[in-house]
Amino acid sequence: MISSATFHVITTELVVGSFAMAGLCFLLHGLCRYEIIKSNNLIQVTDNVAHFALLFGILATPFAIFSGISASPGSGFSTPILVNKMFLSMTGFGLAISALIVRWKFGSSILKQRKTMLIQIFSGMSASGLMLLTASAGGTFSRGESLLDIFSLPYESILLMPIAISSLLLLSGIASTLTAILRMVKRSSIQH
Amino acid sequence: MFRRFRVLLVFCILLSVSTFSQANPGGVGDGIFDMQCGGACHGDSSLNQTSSALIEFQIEGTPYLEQPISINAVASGSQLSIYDKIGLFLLTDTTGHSDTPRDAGWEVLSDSNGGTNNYLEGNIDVETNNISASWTIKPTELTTTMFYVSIHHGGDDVPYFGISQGFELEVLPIPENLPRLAADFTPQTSRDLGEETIVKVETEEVSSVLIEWKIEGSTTTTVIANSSEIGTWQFNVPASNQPSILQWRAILDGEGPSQTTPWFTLVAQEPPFEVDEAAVYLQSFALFIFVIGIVLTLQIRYFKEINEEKQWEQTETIIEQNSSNNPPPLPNGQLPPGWTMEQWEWYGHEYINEQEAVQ
Repeated sequence: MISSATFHVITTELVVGSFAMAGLCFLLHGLCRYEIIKSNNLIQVTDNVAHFALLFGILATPFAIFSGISASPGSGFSTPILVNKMFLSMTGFGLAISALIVRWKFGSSILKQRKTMLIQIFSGMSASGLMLLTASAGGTFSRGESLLDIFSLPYESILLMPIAISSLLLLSGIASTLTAILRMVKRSSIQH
Repeated sequence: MFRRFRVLLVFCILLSVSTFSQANPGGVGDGIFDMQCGGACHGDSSLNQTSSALIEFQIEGTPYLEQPISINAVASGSQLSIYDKIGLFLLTDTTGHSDTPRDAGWEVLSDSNGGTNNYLEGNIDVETNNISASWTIKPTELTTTMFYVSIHHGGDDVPYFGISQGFELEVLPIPENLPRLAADFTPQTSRDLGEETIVKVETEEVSSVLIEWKIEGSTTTTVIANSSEIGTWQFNVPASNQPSILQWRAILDGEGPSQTTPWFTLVAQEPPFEVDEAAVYLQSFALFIFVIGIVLTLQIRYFKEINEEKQWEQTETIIEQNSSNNPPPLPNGQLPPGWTMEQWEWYGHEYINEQEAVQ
């Protein structure tokens, strides 16, 4: 058996590696679509790799979260860094899941139209960036230093909204997600 | 269906791996815990192995009722890791439950980490190669109690547990005219950085109070406490600009024999970070669901169906070819015996060719 801390290191490395790969592939895909890199093969390869890496990262994320909670000293949010980690990872998780849902439901044609391609690449790259920031915050918390320290990121400050505002955000999020899913289902049934 | 269930099962097993782990190298934080820590310090207390650490402790002061004494413990041993947290307990029993000082009628007034807990965590001192902890406690009833100091630590991914020999303490009634601290006196255990502190001492049967205080690594300073009102004394402690531990004790003079209190600990630390956890979880989930909603809505809005040519789909072409089939004229205006019209449309040419070959 292994300790929670060791398991957390393994899973976070999987998450960070997967998301970093996904982010890089989304970037390359965008460059290919704008013909900055001219390679037809790369378009298909980066599309597949980006979304598969994103899926793998999403699957590994819950293990990282649970093992991290188990390994952290004490209980609860003892420092602002842990609060920021929670916000960053959940936002990145949401972006990654939405990018995958869109790719799954609309297929590769989502990347053949300019606006949807830009939104997809933005979602994927943002998810990757937020996950890397989460990992950086974890490094700052556990070791007191991180590669991204050169940017002097304000991990010690948190933007905590009042519960009423968070509730409104949650309700609007649920409403827009449900509406979008219903529209997708409707569109899917019309096609068939 | 079975395949999905199998995948779900594998995920559940993998998720459980971390909770089945035997130890918490990061510790669980100071607290009031019984001997087995309620299973919290180490994932599964039944997997503990016996620690080879040497635990020594000494008691300062006479255990008069409602008067504080201090217990100082030191643990050492080559098995102790310099990297992981080490936990030390002050216990009154070895049964594993209801064994905290409070359960035996003792109150923890202060501990060496600046709290009022019986379980303290810390790291080994690399210079002395040991870990120490101290508690200031007072009896709240006339009783006889056996005290133990216990240790929890890890090493090579194995959780270890050890316990000291017991030390019996009998609480004595307070002699007449004994200069002493007030029964309800509770010392201040922590203060914020950068603020000068006025420490108040409440006493009974005392005519003057001398205070000795020291900071780790410095000499002892002696001051005379000022009386603010009858039975209440106070002295000033200078502000500290960095986290530090100050210890102080009072020498109480009165009609009875002079008394010296145990050392009390006053920790200067950053104000503890506090946040409404419900608000954090709510905002996290709100952000999660909100970004999903935003991305899906935008994609649905801007996505337009593209009629792609399906490379391998040939049905329409075949139907088109079939519809253009031109059946041969019927021999003698009639179908051959046993034929249907549909068969004639498809195989009529072959029949004509066979007939011509026979002739």
